[in-house]
Amino acid sequence: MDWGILAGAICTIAVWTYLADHQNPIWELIQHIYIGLAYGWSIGYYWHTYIWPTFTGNKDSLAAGQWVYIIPIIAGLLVYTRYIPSIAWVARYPLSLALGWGAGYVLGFTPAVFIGQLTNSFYDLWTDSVSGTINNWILLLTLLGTVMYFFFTIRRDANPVMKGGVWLGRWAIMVALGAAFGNTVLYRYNLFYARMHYILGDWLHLAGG
Amino acid sequence: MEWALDIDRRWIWAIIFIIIGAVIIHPLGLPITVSPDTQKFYDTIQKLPEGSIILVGASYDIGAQGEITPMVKALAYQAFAHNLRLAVFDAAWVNGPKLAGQAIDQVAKEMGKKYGVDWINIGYKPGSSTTYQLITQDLISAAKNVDQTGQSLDQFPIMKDLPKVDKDHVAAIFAADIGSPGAGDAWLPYVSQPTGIPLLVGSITMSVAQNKPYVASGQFAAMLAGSRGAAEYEQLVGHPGAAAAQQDGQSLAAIYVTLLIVLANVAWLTTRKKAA
Repeated sequence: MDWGILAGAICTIAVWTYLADHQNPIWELIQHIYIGLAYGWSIGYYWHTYIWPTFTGNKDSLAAGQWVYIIPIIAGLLVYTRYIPSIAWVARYPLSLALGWGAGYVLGFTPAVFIGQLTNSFYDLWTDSVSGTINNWILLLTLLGTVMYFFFTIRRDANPVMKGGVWLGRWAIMVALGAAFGNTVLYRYNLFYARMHYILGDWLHLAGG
Repeated sequence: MEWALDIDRRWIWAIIFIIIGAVIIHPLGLPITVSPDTQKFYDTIQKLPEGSIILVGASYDIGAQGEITPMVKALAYQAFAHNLRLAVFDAAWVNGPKLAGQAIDQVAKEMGKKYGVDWINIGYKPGSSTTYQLITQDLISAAKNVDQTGQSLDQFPIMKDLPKVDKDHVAAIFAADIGSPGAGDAWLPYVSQPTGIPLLVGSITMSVAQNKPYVASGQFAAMLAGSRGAAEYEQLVGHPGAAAAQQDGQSLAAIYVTLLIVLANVAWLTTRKKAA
């Protein structure tokens, strides 16, 4: 018997007890075990494959002469001063440094992606194929309608153009959200299917085909 | 029709258990047709020169295993059959490289491919956007010179051909996408766009709608759309597996949910009319 598979099957069934009765003791127990195991594993993994090699590794580490790492290490440790009330203010410095640097870093890379999306929303409205022409008109009109829906500086019933645009925009948003919701529901079933296959196939060997 | 609005939700779950359980035990084998997106994904990999390296961006977690792992396995089958090499890595999802590594290891053993020569699991390295960008400059430094299990990376022959992630060393990137950070907001801005390496994406069903614009703009070279895309891909590589089997359950579950929606709407409209 594969004890790992047995343990996984028991844990899966324990999680499913939530469906029968919310917040039952079995569910509570397995929830705590799962979170504890996940954090324990992650911390152990970070330590062995990243933190320890940063100090002792033979490349790009303190031991290999990268003394500059002392600066971020100290900055990182300063975050913990928030647990000492008299000097808790010191923690704001590394945090503000990290946030400022992070924002600048993201701004340096993401506009290129955004511009790619923007330029791709410019289409020929009259194409060689009828379906292409219809698609591109639908794209243009739903885009304008959706933008108009979120345009609050003009009254929605100010004129027929605004009224019609808002109406179209509302339908476009509902269709988009409906598609996203439908995909979400299917995804949840796929997750459930994978666990059922684990129970019936990997554990009980009942899967056919 | 008021009874329909008072059904105990446990009956709804019980019926879904029966439906999914039944198709796992007795698969229906519904036909699967290959979509143009999946065909493009397959063709892109098929056109890569032998010996090329594909970087497998394992940006996923245990919850998405049911959809992404079949994609990774099928990718391994196609890549190894075509003498391509694979390198697994991620900087945002701690469990992703472990899961992808297990799937590739299984296929590698089956096809006689060697760890460190034909594939490697560089593992998860923290740092998210910074680390994604760092691998384009010096992969071994970004990985602290250790693989998923803590062995020195520079001892493996494959790493001699993979000092960094750029167009000269990596032919394509396969990135899993289960949310943020994922293909669109991590692999694309920090790795694919700056280096020009084609980005192939394996998306969970839930994210397909939001990822489609990237495919339309050409920023994603191709995309596998959820378990359906995985099933089509499994069929193309000639190894129908978990995703193909999943399609029966998914189809029946979709019919069941549609019937429930119709029932609930009819019941609601009837009771509303009565109340009026």
